[in-house]
Amino acid sequence: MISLAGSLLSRETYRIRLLLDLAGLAYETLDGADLRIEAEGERFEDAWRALSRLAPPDWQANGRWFAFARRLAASPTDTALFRDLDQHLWFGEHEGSPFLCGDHPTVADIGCFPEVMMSEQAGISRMPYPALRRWCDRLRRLPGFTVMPGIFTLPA
Amino acid sequence: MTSHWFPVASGDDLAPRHVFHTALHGQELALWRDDAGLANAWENRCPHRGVRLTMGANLGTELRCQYHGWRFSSGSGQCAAIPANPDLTPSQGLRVRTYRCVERYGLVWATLGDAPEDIADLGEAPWRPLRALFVEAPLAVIAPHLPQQAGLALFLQPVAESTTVIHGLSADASLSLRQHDEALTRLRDRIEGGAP
Repeated sequence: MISLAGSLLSRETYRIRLLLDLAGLAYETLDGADLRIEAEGERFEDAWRALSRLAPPDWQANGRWFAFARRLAASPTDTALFRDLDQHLWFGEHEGSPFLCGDHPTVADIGCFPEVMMSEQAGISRMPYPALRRWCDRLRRLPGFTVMPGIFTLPA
Repeated sequence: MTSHWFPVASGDDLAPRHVFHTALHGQELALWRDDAGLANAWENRCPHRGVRLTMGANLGTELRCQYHGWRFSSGSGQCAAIPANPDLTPSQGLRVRTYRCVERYGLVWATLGDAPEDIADLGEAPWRPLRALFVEAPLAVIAPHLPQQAGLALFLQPVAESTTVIHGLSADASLSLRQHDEALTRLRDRIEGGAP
């Protein structure tokens, strides 16, 4: 069993929960501690198989979105990053890529999502980023999508 | 000024089951397309507790407020259901404020007033909407910077006093959407950077 300890209100814990839930991995949570993940008696191959569904189609070509997610986590109020995301996603919509790296969600989407979805608490309206708002809807409709206080699922 | 018609989104912006968020003259709007294709332009405010409807869900024929689940009908904005009182028929007049909107040339146009449509006649060209750009500058500052170019039609949406959206339509197939976008992005950056 995988166990995840961490504050249920933190972006970091939420990111890991989203990753595990979208990968379809079962886990238990312990609230209010420092972020820590343990996997007792878990078969590595099983977890790897589940997580590889969230791998990008091309690590090399999609690499920039991993670096991007780290930048966004470090600077969650930098609106220039929101503009970059919105532009990339708008062209993605027109070119058959509803997610950051193509037609399925990857760790890059999960990496960016908490900062985007919590931006309004940080004083950043998402109104100027329409494609980003639609991408949020797409993620919120995925099977296994995880909620946290203030973030809801959407009906199909 | 407030009675004019302005583009507020592209038709594609109103994706199925999405609630689009914008504003006109400081009035926040929730735009959504119902499953039959009808575009709605509503005040972004639930008449119950004032919560933004853009936080809610587009259910296809109704919009549902996230706060208490009140549902409002496409077209009229009339409250259709109140989950806490399932047997109650919501009274007429319990409705979201709606604004007039129409779709032309691939854009959604709306007005806050009751003036007749004053949307320019662009003819039959196969207009393609460009990516709309939010600019942190008042409309009057941006207007003189707009390029005059054959096959390109640009419109300004006054979002609020110091925020404007540039909407573009292109009938020039020799330029890609990305080329147009690069040009408009440069224009935005120049204006925001305080270009003379």
